[in-house]
Amino acid sequence: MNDQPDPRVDGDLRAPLRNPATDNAPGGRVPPAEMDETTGLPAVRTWRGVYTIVLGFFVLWVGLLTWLTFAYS
Amino acid sequence: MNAIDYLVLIGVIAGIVGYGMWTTRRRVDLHTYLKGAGHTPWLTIGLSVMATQASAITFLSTPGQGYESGLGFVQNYFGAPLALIVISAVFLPIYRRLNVYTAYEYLGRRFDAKTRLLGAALFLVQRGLGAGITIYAPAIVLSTVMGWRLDLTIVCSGLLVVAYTVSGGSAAVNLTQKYQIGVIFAGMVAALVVLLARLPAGLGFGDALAVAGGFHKLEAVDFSLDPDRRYTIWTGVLGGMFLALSYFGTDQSQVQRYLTGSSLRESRMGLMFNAVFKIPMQFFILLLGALLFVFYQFETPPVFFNKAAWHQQADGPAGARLRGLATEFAAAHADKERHLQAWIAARHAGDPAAASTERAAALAAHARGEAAREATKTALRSANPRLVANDSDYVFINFILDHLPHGLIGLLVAVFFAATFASKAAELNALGSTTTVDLYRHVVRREAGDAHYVAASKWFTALWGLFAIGFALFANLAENLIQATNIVGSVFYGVVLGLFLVAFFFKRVGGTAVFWAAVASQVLVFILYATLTISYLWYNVIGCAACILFSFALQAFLPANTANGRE
Repeated sequence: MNDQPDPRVDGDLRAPLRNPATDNAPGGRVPPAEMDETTGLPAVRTWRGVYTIVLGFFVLWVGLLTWLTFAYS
Repeated sequence: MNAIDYLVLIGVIAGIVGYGMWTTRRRVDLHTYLKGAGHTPWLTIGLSVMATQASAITFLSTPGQGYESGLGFVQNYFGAPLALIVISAVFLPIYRRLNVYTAYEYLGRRFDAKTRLLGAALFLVQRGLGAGITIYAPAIVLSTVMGWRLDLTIVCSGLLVVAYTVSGGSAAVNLTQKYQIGVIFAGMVAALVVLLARLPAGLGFGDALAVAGGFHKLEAVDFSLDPDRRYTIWTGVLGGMFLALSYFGTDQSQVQRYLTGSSLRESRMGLMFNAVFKIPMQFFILLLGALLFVFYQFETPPVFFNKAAWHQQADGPAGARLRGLATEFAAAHADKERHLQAWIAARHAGDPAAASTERAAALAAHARGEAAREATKTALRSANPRLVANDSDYVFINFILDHLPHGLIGLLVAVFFAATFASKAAELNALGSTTTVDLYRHVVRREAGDAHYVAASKWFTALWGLFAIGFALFANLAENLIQATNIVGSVFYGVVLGLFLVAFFFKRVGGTAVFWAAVASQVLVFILYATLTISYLWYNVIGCAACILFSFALQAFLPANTANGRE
């Protein structure tokens, strides 16, 4: 057991299984363009914006549950 | 259940399974078999991720948890939205960029073969056990209340899910899950509507909440710092986040669901769908349990919800004692109901002093009833030491069978089977994929055609299915079922998450350091679990933190790694 690269892992990288989704991309990888894609949402164009909204929902749920706890305790 | 119920049950199950098998019957290459056709839209991914996590245990056991302990269990899911954001922003782009079939492939590329195998092995052990629980849990409850044979219920439901998972692979799993979750939502909403309609006349929704709150069933958030408390906001946000990070981010049964997305966007949106709706969904199911509690304040419940077990002992030497306790319980319940009616009347009349007095009297009567229930459990356990004295898993199914109209009973039982199939199929699919990709293709047979690996994947999926069925046939669980599943996960998930966090964020650490750190951390978690009484959610944090810290400590004594950053 050591930290040297395993030759079998190298084999994996050199000869990945056929993957129709990415075989045309260099190195069998997903095209970099995909990594930059936008959200496709009309009002929220960045993922940072989407995450902020999701966090807002999280705060809303926890806030409502806290209110429920104290309102009916 | 009558003929209509069986017709609905068989129609729903056969329809979904048949449609899934028929639509995906021509999947031949490995990529399509393991990842689907690669054009899964975000809503299907979102529902599939949701269905994978929400097994029959969720719908059978969680209302019982709400009935018994209130809404506090919802805190278990507080970490999920935060974890899903991290996975969407960090884990997912890396998985897609590397175009991996399994999460553990990434460990092999980032570290080395042994670390990849360790990650895959930890997953296979805990998920293999989990798959057994997934199939055992609903079977034990359904067979008990329906009078079905337990072994036949396990074998028949197990073989059915093995058949369509083996046949259609990942695409069949995703496709059937979409319809299964539709049936599940429809059934649960129908149950809630009937429940609300069957509350006593004059008892509005606000009154029902007041009654539930009066018995501490609506305490959803607990700010206590006591580490022995199982569910607090802190265990939920911290422990729950680590649990969710590990489960959604590194458990192949989930990773495989969102890797089927046609693009990074679709996969991310599927995860965000869960980040928004996971907490309200769990809240809804627990609230159903809390409202069941209210319903049973005005309708005498059985002293022990596993009625079959009670009747079995009531006919034996403990019969006189059990019947005496049942009478005691019924008397306390009648007294409680009388005070509750007076409490509601005082509330409506705007008389807080009378309301307070009647509530106190109702709580005292409730305490007497609970004492009779506890004594019943003790008597049952004395009569049969192997009996599981926790009857909360039987609360919801009793309500369904005793109070829902025919047809709807069949639909609700179909809900439990649909949920079992949905999560079980995802687990088997992931177990088969990981065994094929990370063990068989990586270690045993490296050069073979797609057809060979598809066949191998089908065989491994079937073998894991048989293993899960075998485990389920010999299982005997003492914990509430939903908690048992989470406990098994928490014991392993922290260390697996530690492996991945080191891989993602700490480029200095190499394979040997993280491998031995993970082994040592897993041993540490086993020891702590056997000796401490802290909430099991903390083991996610402890396992993860130990793996990271041990990795750094070991790396300090090892030569600098040259294989890092190989992705």
